Amino acid sequence: MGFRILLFLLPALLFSVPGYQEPWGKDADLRFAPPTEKQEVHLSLLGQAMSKIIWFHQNVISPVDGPRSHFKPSSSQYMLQAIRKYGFLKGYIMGCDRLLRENGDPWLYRTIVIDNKIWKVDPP
Amino acid sequence: MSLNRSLSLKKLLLSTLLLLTGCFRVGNELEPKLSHAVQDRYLRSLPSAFSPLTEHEAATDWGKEDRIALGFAHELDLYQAITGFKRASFLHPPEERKLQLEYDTLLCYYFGGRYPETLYTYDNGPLRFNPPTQDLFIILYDSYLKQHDEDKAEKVLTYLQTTSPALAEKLALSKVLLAGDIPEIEKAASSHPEVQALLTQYNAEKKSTMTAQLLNTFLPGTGYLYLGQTQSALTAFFLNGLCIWASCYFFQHGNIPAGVIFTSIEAGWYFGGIYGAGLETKFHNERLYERLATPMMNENRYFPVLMLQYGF
Repeated sequence: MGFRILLFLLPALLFSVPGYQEPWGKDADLRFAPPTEKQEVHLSLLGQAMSKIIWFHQNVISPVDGPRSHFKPSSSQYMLQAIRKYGFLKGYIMGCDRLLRENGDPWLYRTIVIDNKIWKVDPP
Repeated sequence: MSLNRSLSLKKLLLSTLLLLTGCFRVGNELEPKLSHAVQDRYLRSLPSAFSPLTEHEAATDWGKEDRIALGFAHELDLYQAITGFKRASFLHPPEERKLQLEYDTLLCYYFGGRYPETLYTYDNGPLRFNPPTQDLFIILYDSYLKQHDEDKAEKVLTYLQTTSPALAEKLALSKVLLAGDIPEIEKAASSHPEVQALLTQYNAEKKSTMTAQLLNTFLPGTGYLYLGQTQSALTAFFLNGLCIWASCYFFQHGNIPAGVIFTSIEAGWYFGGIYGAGLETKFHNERLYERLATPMMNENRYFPVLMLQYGF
């Protein structure tokens, strides 16, 4: 009998959606910033090629000797974000500039501490 | 004949370099990040704009909720405070106290930096049907500016100029100081010695974008050196030197593909250095402005939140 009831309720269980999605009220995000929606970016052919190269660097080359960047975001991520934001040419040039600045000199950068390590914050 | 040709070629090369450098110019406008985080000590120092609850009011359900909410508000636990103020307003307080609860809710949103909610509370609550106080004008002006609604902020300022010209002037000056609008700050400096002092120190310590970029154009790395980034300067100098030498070497030895590859890599380092020196100068000037302007604005209460006369 129990099994039949379960079988009867199964479609409802499969297609049900939670009715109460905001348990902390609409002001709860005063303390927790809501996640921002990702926007799709259309890259040029050169931009796509560069993003593939950066993907290869981030996923194949970089894991071999570990992360070395002193910045957040890392230099490869910075170049990728710059290309997405400003297009291939300006993004590539900004990425080259960032690579020239890739060292431990704190200069005037804003910093954050993650796992007792100081990172320089420099978004594109 | 060949000397003249060589000279004209050099001029052409120099002009092309300067022209290309011009494509990577960085503007002199500042985009500083100046903000003042409200501290609980400051909040406690502000008196309430409303009379304290009477014994009878404090004993009612809404009065108890209001007292709890005020406790949270004084500890800057704004989320809990908003919940408390709203709970109190649901328990049918008298009309004038309902207005107080609404204002306290709006104040919480404002102190918490929730500007859309601040404006929503004003636009959809009973506050808009009552004559605004000076503090409410400050809150609305600042919230409209933070929401980039310049028209409404300007309307608030225009109204304030007729009722409280001194406050309107201070808010207008606050806006240009927060934006780091140097030409406008220069105009205001003559009548404000503290602003003049800020400007003098800023002009003495700021770096020139054009100088940094030109230095990196003629000798890669010197632009970074001018900004005080010694390690980056050395990296730029040696990397550019290596790539230029490699390009020349391959072209001279007839290895055109390798020469082209190294030239394209060198172009990235070269123009990256020029553009980067400009960006870094802008960042240097912004950080300098932030370092100089923040204590001055705190001391002279140029942050709108510090102009408020009343708290909870």
